[in-house]
Amino acid sequence: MLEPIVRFFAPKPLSVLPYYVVGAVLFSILVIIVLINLPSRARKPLIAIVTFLAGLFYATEFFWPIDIATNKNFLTDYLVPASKLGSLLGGMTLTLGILSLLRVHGRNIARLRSGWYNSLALLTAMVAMVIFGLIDKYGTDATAKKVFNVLFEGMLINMDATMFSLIAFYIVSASYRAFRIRSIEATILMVTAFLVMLGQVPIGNALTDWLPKDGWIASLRVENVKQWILSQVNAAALRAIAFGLGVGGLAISLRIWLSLERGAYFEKEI
Amino acid sequence: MDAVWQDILSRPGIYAGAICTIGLMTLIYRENAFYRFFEHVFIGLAAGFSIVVLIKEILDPFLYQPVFKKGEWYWTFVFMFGLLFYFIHSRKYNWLSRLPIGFLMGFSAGQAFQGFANTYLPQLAKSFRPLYVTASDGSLDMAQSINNLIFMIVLVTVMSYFFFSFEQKSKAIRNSAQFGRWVMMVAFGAIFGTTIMARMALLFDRMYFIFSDWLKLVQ
Amino acid sequence: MAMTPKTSKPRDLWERLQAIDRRVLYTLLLVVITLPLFKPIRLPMVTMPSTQKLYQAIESVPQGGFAIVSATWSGGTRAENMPQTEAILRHLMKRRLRVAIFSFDQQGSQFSYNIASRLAKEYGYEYGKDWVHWGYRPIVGVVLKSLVRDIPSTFATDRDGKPTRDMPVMKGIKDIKNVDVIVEIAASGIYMDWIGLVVGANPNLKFGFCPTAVMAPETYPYMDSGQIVGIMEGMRGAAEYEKLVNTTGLATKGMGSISLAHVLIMVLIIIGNLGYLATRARGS
Repeated sequence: MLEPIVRFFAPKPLSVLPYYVVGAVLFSILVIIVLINLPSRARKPLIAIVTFLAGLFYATEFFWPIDIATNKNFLTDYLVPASKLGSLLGGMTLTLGILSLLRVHGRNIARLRSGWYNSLALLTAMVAMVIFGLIDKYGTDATAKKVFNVLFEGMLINMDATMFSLIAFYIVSASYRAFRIRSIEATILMVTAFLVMLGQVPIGNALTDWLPKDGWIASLRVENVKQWILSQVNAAALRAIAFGLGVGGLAISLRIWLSLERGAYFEKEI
Repeated sequence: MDAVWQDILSRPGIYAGAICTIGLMTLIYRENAFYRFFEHVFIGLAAGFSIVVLIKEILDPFLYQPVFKKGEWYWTFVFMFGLLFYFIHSRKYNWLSRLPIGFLMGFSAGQAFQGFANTYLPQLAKSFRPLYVTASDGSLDMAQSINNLIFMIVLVTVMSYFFFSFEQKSKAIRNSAQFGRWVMMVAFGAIFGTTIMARMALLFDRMYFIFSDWLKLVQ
Repeated sequence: MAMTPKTSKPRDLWERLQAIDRRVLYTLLLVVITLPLFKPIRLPMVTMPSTQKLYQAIESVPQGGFAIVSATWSGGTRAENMPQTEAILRHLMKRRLRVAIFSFDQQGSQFSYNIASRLAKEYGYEYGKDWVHWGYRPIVGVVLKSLVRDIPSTFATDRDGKPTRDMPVMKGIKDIKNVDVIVEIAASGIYMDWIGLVVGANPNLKFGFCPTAVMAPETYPYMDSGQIVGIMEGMRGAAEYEKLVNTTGLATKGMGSISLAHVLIMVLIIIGNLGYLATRARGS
């Protein structure tokens, strides 16, 4: 019964491929037109069905018993296509924000709003990266490849690193101004922070380097104190927190899967 | 002067990176036009790189190659489904973008059961530690026994802090929760300590780039 | 970002101790970070058990074993994740293991390829025979689920679109049971996905994690349970690993600067608190 469907979806030779591709595009456009005209009351149920079916695949694949001989169940062979599907679909979200950027900054330039030259720089940088990035992949021009290297490794990466490094200045200022021992909790936090900070830098290790490396007294070496804090107290406390997070996460996943989740995004009228 | 030009031409990426780094670093003095300009260039490059990645690492291997090289025409449907994401920019039809979003959310939610079981069951099993630990010669391993006891006390008291977060009449639970709060501060203190390390490392990288890679003042 | 708001003038020494100008703080920080670059400080470096365990795990894999390295990081955390990536790849290549690299981050894909290409020349690693780069993948869960069952189909092509199935590096690799070690180098909580979807599927698999320092404490419960074999904690962990593989990289060079920066922050916190306690005592 399924054979005609399987045959229909089988790979096609180059001679007929364009017809199938164009047919698929036209069919998809038709479906989108139908969706656009879908009455409001049918929209949320449709989204709920799509979400449920997507989740059902992985949930069933996990819960369904496997055949001992093949170490598979009836869905195992579809994990690879699902991975490709997820990669293609997820990858298409990469450029979702680009349209907004083009609209906002294109308007800034067109109306010569204040700071329009910054918008021009943004769009120029974007276009340059696209052109040289694609030449780097598909072209052979050595100069263009060098330009891509300047744009990617020289500029983008260094700017990314610089943006994050600025936090170092603010964390120094914030630690100095806000870290006050106003309570028992704050005192515990500060003492632990100091011990961990000393334990993780060589200068702190040097403070207790005179202590023997073996025996019970070695436990007092600052790096061992740090290790003890992390592997005993910190690990136990964070495991307890993780249990709460895990149960909560599972509950939220279940609510999303069954479209029971509440909140602005899920309850908004569509 | 010629030597400088020669150096710039031989290492254009380093010079461009240095100018961009200094441009963005001016923010620590105050917000200024110079910073704004480089901030915009940064956003532009990052956005452009996303487009490049979309084409060469997504559309090429997952759409163009399967469809046009292997004849797997049905991936066209997935591409068209993915285009629905872009309806998010439409005021009237943005609900259509919820279809692929819901699909990916469903995918992720469906995996949560396996994720939970594989992640937390071994954690739970490893939480039951023996309080009387023997060394290889059969004697009491005092240090490990005490460590295990501390581990159990911390685990239970932190859990009691969360599970009994509403007002409690029992003094034992109140004290347990209070102690749990204190030991959580130890964990947060440790996180603060390591955060300092992370941020300082990022700044060191920048200074190293400027003084070593660019100016070649240090080896 | 903006200038420090104007506040009332500090009255005495104790209040002044709590109100050091931010420009002074920033300058001090720049000085302590930069100074050791010109005048290196030699300090003892102790290898932490977490780093040692990761090293031992890779050491225990027989020559020719198969390792997967995922580099999920971008330029923002380059200072920590780049030395980590380099140290791990150096160790894997020194051990003559077969290496497959990929990334869940767009920039990480390019970075890891550049680093591996450079190291491959150093260690005489041939692309396709000894190592391969599978490229970038955007969604974590779907890829990991598929990787467990069928590696050649999940990564059918490399980052340049070349088929991987017939590459010698992939010989005998079918599913997760053929993988000896996986190392994730990341600036995010992606280790949870690996633990949840991959780690349990092969009891002999060794999963190591190289997080940024800020994330290291949260991974300790998983090292305690054995789900993670070892952790390389940020730049400090990378410096320890560099020592283990007998090389001097960015992390080792940075330890002097990082040490002084830590001391500066501790001194500043103490000064601020001295001022605070003295002011409070006077007030009461």
